[in-house]
Amino acid sequence: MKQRSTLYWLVPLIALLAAITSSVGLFSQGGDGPFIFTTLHGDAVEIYGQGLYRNDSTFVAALFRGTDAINLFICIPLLLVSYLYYRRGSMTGTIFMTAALTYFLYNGATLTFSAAFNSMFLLYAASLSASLFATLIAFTTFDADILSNKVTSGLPHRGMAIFLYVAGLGTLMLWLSELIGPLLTGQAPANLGPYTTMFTHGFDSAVITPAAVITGVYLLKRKPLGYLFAPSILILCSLIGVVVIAQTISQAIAGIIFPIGVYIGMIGSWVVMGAFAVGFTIVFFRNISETAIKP
Amino acid sequence: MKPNHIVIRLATIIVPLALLAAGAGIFWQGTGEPYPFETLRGETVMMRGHGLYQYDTVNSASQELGQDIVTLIIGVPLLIAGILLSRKGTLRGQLLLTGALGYFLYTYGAMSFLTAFNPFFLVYVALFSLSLFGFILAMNSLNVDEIAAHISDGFPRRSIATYFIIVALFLTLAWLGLVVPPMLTGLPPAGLESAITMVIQALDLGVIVPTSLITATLLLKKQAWGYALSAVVLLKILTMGTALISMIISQMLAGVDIDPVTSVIFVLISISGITLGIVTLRNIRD
Repeated sequence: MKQRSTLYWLVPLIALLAAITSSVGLFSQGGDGPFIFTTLHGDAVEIYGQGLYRNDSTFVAALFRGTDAINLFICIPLLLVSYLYYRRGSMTGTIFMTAALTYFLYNGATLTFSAAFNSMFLLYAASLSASLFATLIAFTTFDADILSNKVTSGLPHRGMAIFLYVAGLGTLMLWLSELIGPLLTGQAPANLGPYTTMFTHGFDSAVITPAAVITGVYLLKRKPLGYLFAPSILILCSLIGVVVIAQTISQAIAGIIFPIGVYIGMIGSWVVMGAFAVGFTIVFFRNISETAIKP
Repeated sequence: MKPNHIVIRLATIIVPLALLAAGAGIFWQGTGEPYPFETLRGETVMMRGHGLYQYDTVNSASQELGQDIVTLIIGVPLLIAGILLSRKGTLRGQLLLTGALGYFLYTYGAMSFLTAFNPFFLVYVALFSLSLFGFILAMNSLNVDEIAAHISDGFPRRSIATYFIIVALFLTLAWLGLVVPPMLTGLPPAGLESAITMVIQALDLGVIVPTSLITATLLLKKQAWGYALSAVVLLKILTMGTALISMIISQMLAGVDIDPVTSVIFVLISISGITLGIVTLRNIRD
């Protein structure tokens, strides 16, 4: 794998920024505690009122704290370990590092554009910037043709493509189902709360859904770029599955309990998606040999 | 240079959607009066109260309106010109198309994440998505060596590199001055108003500033990517600059207090960016 000297400082920087913002998010205290805020649309929502996320709704602050825990205990270690393997020239390491960078790009964009302005704002923007450029550089370190020569004939192209379609389009359908009603009636969506707009709904629909579908199409057509993007999206989906579990636990601790239907339908489907993604990630790496198959 | 048909197709879908979104912002004014609203951070701001931007403040609605006008009279025509010229396979056409897609990417990224949720939300998201993938594909299909070979001797390489460095420094200083004090004191930043966070400042500091600096460095080193990137970034500044001037005029018409020093610097940066953008296009031989 080609070594890029820019990554030697960008990747440790991203890990450091994530370690700081996630620790502060998870452990910071202080503030007057929860209070009620009346939104522009006249809805009363509970604001968290403590720690870093004091100006976020209790609902969203709990999501962010769940994500912070997974960042600290899984995602940052994954980034650092895969980076060490990348430095040794391992292809598997490079693929995992690229996927972890894609995750931090997603995480950085979410915190930068949707967390209520707080003392970590510039660190969020720096993390978004560093992971955007690092992801672009990491993707260009691969020669997609060389990678595609290492794929064995056993790779279940069709199965992986179907999974990517279901994950991408399923996410879109889920988010649309929450938006169509309010868009037609002119009311605020249920979880808009104090926020300007629905960031995750917009970002997933605009970026993640097309990326997953395009990767699926490329895999079916056996295009080399498909092998480049597929592992990143699969690992991203696996991490999101784990993040959703942590977010749900964090919300339960904050006193947000959902009806049983939501646990099975919404949260369950993310976790099932994550489990399938873990399975396909394992299958993908089993079908990659470190040496070229074809001459 | 061979035109990329997917880019042209994506750009062709952007045209009617942008006409719809920007047209609605301008022509759907509705009825209703501005009203005061107490924000989450305890400040009282005036909401527009009518039309598409009824849930935005008077200040941000006037900026969105200024942006819409520029999208209609400059952004869309440039995009159409880019589509037509790149179908003929001209280099200028491809650069024009890529730069115009850059403008739509920034504009509808900001509209998706900073405009208060309104009935056009999904249209903004679709425009953001189309211009993101269109821009990536367009950049990927640029033949940078060919661009470098088509740059004539009159190309003001050093002036453009200097300009990018000045833009980067100005944006850094202006936006750090705005966001650092409130990060330390915990008070709401000036200009936050009813929004949840400072989207433009993050986009500029996180994406535009590094891109300007990278472009300046590549230009000074006479690397092929420097010429390609500078043509694209200048075209984006050409359109963003006019949008900024339009926004400032629109804010003044709406009676919003504006900071004269920052506004004058923005106008100067925009005018020199527009000039350099035109000079660049003239110095590319087809």
